[in-house]
Amino acid sequence: MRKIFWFEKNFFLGLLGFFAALILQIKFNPLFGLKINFVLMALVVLALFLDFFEVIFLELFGVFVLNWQPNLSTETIIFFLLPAAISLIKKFLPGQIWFNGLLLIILGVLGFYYFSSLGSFLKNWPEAFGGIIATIGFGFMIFFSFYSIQDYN
Amino acid sequence: MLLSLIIILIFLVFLKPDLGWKIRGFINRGLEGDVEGMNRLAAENENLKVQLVLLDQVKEQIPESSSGYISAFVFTYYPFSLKDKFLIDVGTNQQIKIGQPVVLPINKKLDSKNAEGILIGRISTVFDNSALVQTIFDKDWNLKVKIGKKGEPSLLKGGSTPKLTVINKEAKIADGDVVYNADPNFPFFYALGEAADPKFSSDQVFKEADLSFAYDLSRITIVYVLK
Repeated sequence: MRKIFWFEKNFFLGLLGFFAALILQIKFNPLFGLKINFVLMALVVLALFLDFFEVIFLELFGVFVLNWQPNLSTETIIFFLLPAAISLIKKFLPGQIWFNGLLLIILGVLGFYYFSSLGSFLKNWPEAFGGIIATIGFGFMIFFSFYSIQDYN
Repeated sequence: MLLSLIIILIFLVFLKPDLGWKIRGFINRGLEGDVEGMNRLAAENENLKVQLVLLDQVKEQIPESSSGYISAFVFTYYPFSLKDKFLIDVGTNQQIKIGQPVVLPINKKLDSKNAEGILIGRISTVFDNSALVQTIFDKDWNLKVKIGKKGEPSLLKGGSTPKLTVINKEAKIADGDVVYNADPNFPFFYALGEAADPKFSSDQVFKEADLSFAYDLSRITIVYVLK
């Protein structure tokens, strides 16, 4: 596979996408009144294209910077487990990569909200719904950006 | 190479979480100007409005507000959606307890007895040397408040745009009316913000309004925890 600097092309581009998502999440959230989980989406998408340990590295970096209390919160643990699980199961999924990608993005976001803050979601679903749709939209965008530059030949 | 980095990151996540908070703080505030100063001015403005309201009311009948506080630095903010909390650098070792009010300070005179400022949240979880603050932007936050000089009662419901709800439909609420605490669990007459865009509720039974703020909560670096 082609290399950029010292890295494989995919990992290098993944690093760029991940750090862009990290800056967006920290610096520009909420965006237009919507809180978007940029980093979670970047990791879910990258889990489809990168090797398992590359995903683990990015996840740990995300946990290190985004963890917000001395203990690991439920959200942080789910944030770590979701992309890792996707990276493990992706080879066993039937269907085209684009279909699996879109499905996993939707399931990933819904799974994160379900396991981390279902109570808050049910209390304020109209507002939360907008954030979920925006997060899925960002996931689709980054997925197709990555998908379009893959060498499938 | 990658495995070594993974091991280093595991070490950092568990043993040096504060380093991650500093990196986040740098990204969040690194290139900005005197946001803290602007927030302080906004808080001062809100407090002046409350003082004007106080002049029109019977101050003697109001319970005495807090007589002391602990100043704290903000470590980091909740990074995901649906909750609005932040971590401060004081905890059990500094006698912090769950439920204590947290205010955005007006001045930095740490020797003054009373903390003046805007009520922004309460302590929700306490660790040894840190504590989580649930803010009024958290969707699980509810608070009894009063609006304007006439002290129209209302229920503040938290969220990314906090709402003033169940206001009497006869009440005269105007844009810019100061909103202050009326909940006995917190000190009275601490400002929260200003009423904005008052209108009838969808069922026409009550009035409701938005709560507007002149400060940016996501850029705060210093808060007071009231004793």
